[in-house]
Amino acid sequence: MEIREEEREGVKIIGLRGRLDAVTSPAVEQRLLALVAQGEVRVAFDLSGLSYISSLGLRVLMVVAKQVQTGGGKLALATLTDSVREIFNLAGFTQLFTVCQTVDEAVAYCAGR
Amino acid sequence: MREDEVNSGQSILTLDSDIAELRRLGEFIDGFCDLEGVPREICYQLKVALEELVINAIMYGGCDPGPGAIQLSIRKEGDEVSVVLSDSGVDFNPLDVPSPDLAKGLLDRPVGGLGIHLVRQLIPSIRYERRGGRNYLYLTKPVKPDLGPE
Repeated sequence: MEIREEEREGVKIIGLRGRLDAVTSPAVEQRLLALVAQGEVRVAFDLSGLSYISSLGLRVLMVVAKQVQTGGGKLALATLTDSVREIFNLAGFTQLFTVCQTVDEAVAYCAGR
Repeated sequence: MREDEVNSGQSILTLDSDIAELRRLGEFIDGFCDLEGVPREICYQLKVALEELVINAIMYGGCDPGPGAIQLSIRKEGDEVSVVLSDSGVDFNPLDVPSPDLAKGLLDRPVGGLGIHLVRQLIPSIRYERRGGRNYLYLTKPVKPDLGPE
């Protein structure tokens, strides 16, 4: 699991590449919560490289989203693959999260455009 | 590490009660689905559901961290994949965990229960049994037949 970070318009863009499962989730959660604690409350995720997400991965996203929301920030997910999107639908996540087709849309949402 | 066996149409995997074993679980399911021509989407969903159930057994089941704590057998019959998952943990039926209230917003929804909810969504038929000091879960998932090239 690789985490790529970049910034655009004051929004932190997080690219997750690889698997977000029981093995990789703890380290990813740690990194993401640290970012939020540092004040990054506009967070857009590029999930085009996410090959697999299990319930533990979903849990990480949920925990981070809660922290962002508590901090009065915005979080959006972009470019989900079909398999991951299906898991999101079944978990009821598409109602909870802002899901965008492109990273640009996610950045626009988080930047408040 | 135990070798995987293929026995009268069944594939059997034995796992130690250890999170590191999850990669073997994924590889095992991939191998089975490849062999039996199970579509990629179904394979993916099987892996997600089984990962959740195995994690529960490892983390909450109180299995002795020894070899062979968890056993999984899988076979394809007609348009269905059947899995039997057993573990040596405490008497625990994951289906007893209540489903999350999906109407609740993000901040109000507890994080727990999410995994089992997902399992129920992915696996239409699940049955639990306690027998001989082990938990048994019987799972059945339909496999949409591959339509093949036109």
